[in-house]
Formats: sequence, structure tokens, C-alpha cells
Amino acid sequence: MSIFDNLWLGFEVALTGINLLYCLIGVTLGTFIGVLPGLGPLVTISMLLPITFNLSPTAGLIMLAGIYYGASYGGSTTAILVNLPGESSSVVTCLDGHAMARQGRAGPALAIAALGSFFAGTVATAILALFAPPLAGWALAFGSPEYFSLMLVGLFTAAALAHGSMLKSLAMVVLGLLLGSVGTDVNTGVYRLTFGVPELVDGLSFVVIAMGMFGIAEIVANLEKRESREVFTSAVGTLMPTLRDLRDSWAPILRGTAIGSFMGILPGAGTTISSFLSYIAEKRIARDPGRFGKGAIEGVAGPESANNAAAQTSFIPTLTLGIPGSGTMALMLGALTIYGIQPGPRVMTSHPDLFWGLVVSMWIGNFILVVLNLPLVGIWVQMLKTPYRMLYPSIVVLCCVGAYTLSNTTTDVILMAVFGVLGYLLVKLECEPAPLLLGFVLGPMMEENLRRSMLLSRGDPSIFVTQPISLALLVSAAVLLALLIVPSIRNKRDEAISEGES
Amino acid sequence: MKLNNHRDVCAGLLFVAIGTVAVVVAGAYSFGSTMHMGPGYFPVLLGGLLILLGAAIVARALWTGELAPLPSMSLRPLLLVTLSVLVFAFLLERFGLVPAIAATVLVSCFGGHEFRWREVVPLAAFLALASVLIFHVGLGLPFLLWSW
Repeated sequence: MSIFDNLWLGFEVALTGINLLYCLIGVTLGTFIGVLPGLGPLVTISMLLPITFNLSPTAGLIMLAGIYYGASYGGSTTAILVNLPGESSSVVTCLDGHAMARQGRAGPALAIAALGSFFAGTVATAILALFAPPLAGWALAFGSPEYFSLMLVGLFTAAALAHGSMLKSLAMVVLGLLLGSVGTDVNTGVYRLTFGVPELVDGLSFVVIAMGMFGIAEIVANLEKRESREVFTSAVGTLMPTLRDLRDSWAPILRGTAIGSFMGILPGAGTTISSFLSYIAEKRIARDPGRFGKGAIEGVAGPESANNAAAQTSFIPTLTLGIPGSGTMALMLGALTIYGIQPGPRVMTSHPDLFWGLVVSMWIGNFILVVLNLPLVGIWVQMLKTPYRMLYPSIVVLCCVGAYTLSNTTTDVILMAVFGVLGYLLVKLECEPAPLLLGFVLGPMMEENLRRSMLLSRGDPSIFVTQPISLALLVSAAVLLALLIVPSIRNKRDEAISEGES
Repeated sequence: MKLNNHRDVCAGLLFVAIGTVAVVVAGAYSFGSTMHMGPGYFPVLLGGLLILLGAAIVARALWTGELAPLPSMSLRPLLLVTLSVLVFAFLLERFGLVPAIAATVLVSCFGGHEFRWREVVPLAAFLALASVLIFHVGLGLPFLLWSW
């Protein structure tokens, strides 16, 4: 089948009335929740995930894709209007987006963010359609050693690109892997690390961990600070960007799309780093870098496009290899397994309707955002006016109900509280929780592939370096690690990451 | 770069503690050999790795010297928000969804800076009603609504 046949199949699936409706509901709900300050896409998706369980896998995933897009865009809206990034990838959007809002140009900022995202999403969809099948074909040749090495690369990248100390990020990854091994051992049926809790026999749920560590912990952290939000409600003004805005934006959008599309494909790299890279690139290229941070539209257009392109292309490693590039992707991967679909190179051939339907839905979700949500921006602004003291009890209730509905047990609710406390402590100790989630999702797969590799090699760990593909992957991980230890590059990375905060 | 070493010492010790628990608990499962890994192999390996990483974090913090104070933590929101989640878990299957939501809203609101009955009561009522409508009526999830 050619790309066009594939995309055509996708359109056939996605454009059936019912699937389109689910996509629309997903986008609207996702934006609705995602726009609330302090709720990033990760929490939004995990809160809304239980709603999709009653649907068929295809419809459920399409709705989830809608939620994903809605939540991401909702996050950008909050970043621009309230200066509160929902997740790390919209940190840079805050810089110039919020500065634009202060100048009464929130409308053009929102419009450019949506248009840039749409353009980037379109290009990235094409790249996905082009590159996913050959990559999946290549990955079919992967055996257990290759998978193990690949996951190692993904986890290393995630730890390397996370905020702060690399040692701590690595420790978070290992902690995640450890949490992933809770439950019944698949090979022997032994209950591991369940501490006598019968509900833990099936393992921990990633939704519970995500809601606890990102939802509940975030609320506690926010309650510590006094409420000091400024919302630019009256100043959204006209949505239409001026001609000058468009002229200033098209090149950053193109560059952002290129950066994002490339970075998204790397396992473990994800969206955050591509938005940072795009921001830095725009600042370097600009004739007058002094404008950045003071409302330069390039600083919104580039990173938002990069972010979205990466979000789309990171579906390539997620769907074809089963290696997520970010915490949010880890969540999507977890959702797939809940629907009984094992992500990997075979998804494309065993569930072509689902795969291509999802790919096309992502694009349609993006389109719906542009035509539907921009006119509705007034409503989102109204939602932003809700004071946090009314908001956070609602989030707590939604998380509680969501955790309970996962498998109708209050144990999940209690576990969510436990992870809330743990997440809060870890954030206070400056340990970033996203690598943990990645480790958690990859843990069981990693153990399985490690065991199989060792069985194949009769207990000889040198199999990882004697198999050529595996060796190449490990060498790239080692190079990456070495690069990060070299001080000059390390400083560059710190500069890149901290630029978003200053 | 700022030095947050006291923080790092605590973080490292936390990782060492979790790793130790994992090694001790998983050490009871059969370890197997590298060729035929038992259920204990991977968790013990990870626990050991976590202890090493934790120790390295502590060592680096002590090495670089200058111990910065621990971050400030306010216990009130932590305790009350956590309690509100636990209250939900406790009440849900005993008294039903509506009382559980009401109690959760009430307790979590005490964790904030301002508490106004005039806001909390309508909020609790609204959230209870909305949850019943969305999850019970709309999605058909089997919830015990109330019983006392």
C-alpha cells in the first residue's frame, strides 16, 4: 500500500460520523479541562481517560487523540493568558506569549499558536505517514536484545533531557522501572512487591501514578503559593494577526516544524526540548534578539509549531516501536495497552484501521481546533477567571472519581493519595517526575526483553554488544551520555533549559 | 549554578531507602540465574541500582560542600488535600458518591487560604450533581449514590 492508500483508509475511518463526533467531543473536553490553570495535558488526559473506556478501541483512541490535542492547545492558551505553563513544553510559550498578552495582543498570539500548530501538524502527519511504515518494517527485524537496547537509549535520553541533575533523573527512571515491576510476575505467577494488597496483583495503574504525581501533588504545590494570577480577559481583543505578524511568523513556523519533526522521532527526546531548541534558534537568527521576552511573535510561532510537530512525529516511535518520547506519550501508550493493543511494529499491519484512523484523527483534531476553538476563545477566557480556590476542589473530586472508575476499587484512590504525597516530596527535592512515568511504562517490557535476551544468549550479557543493531543503539546512548558529561556541552544544555525560566 | 545540596542529600537518602526496601522485599523471591531469571532478579537489580544512584547523589552533594537549607514546606495543604482524597476512598463504598464528594470538597477547601461557606456549599452541591449526571447517568457507571 502506498502512503495515499494508508491515509485514505485513515480518512475513511476518521470521517465516519460517529468517530468524527468522538474526535469533536474529545477536542472540546480536552480544551475545556486543559485550559484550567495548573492542569497540564498529562493530568487532563489521565482524568478523561476513564470516559473513553466504554468505547471501541478505534473510537476510544480517536477521542483520546482529540483530548490530547485539545489539552495541548488548552495548555498553550493558559500559558499565553495567565503565564502558567501546563507542561514543560509550553514554558517557552509563556515568555513571549504572555508578554504579547500584556500588550493587548493575546488574540494574535493565540491565533498564531493555533495556525502554526496546524501547519506543523499537517507536515508532521505527512512525515508520519511516510516514515512510520519503513521504520516498522525495520523494527520487525528487532529481537529482544535490540528492544532492550532501544529502551535503554530512550530512558537515557529522557533522563538526559530532563530538568536538573542527571543523576536524579536517572534515579527517577530506575524508581519508575521498579514501580513497573509491582504485580504478578508474568513468567512465574509470583506476586511481587504487592505488600499484601490484593489489588496490586495486577500491578499499579499508570493513571493513578500520573494523577497522583502530577494532579494531586501539583495542587498541593500551588496551594503553597498565594494566588497571584493576572488574567487578560478584556484584552484578548481581535484574533486576527496583522500582516506584519504573518510576515514575521512564517519562517519561524517553518523552522519550528523542521526542528520539531526531527526531534520528535528520536525516542525519549519529545516535545519539550524541541520547543526550547526552536526558541533558541529564533533568538539567534533574529536581527534584534532584544525583542525576545518582550512580546516577539516569533517566540510564540516557532516553539508552538516545534512542539506540535514533535508531538505528532513522536507517535512514530510510540506506535511503531512502543517507545514513548514523553510522559504524555507514555500515557497514550498505556491507554493502548488498556484497549488490549500491544504497541509495536505489528500494530500497523494487525490494526491498520486503528493506526491510520488515529493518525488522521490527530490531523482532524488539529483542524477542529483551528475552526472551532479560536472563535470560542472567549469561553476559555471566562473559564480562566474561575478562582483557584473553587477550581482545585473540583480537580480533586474529578481525580478521585476517575481513579475509582479505573477498576471500581477505592484502593486506587488511596494509592493516588500516596503518589500525591510522594510526588510532592520529589518535586520539593527537585526530582522531575516525568522520567519516572516513562520508566514505569517501559519497565515490564524491558524486563521481558532482558529475560528473553539472557535466555537466548545463555546468560551471557555480551549479546547486547555482539548484535550489530543493538551495539549501534548502545553506542549512541554512550555517546549521548559522554556528550552530556563534557562540560562545555553540559553548560549549553543548562543554558538551553534555563533560558525558558529566566 | 545554585547549590541545593541539603536537598540532594535528602533526595539521595530517599532513593537509598526505597532501593533498600525493594532489595529486602524482592530478595525473598527466587532470584534465579542470569540465564533463567527468577521473579526476584529484576527488582533486586533495580533496587541495587537505586541504592547506588542515591548514594552517588548524596556523595556528590557532600563533595561539592555548602549545604543549602531544605525547601520550605507547608504541611497544611499537603495534609488536608491528601486527607480529602482518603476521605473520598473511605466514604464512597460505605455512604455513596454524593456524601463522599461533599466531604472531599469540604476537607480540601480547608487546605486553601480562604474558606467561605457561601462558596463551599454550592460548589459541593454542584460537583456532586455534575458527577452523578456525568458518570452515573451519562456514562452508566455503577455508583452507589447514597445510603445512610
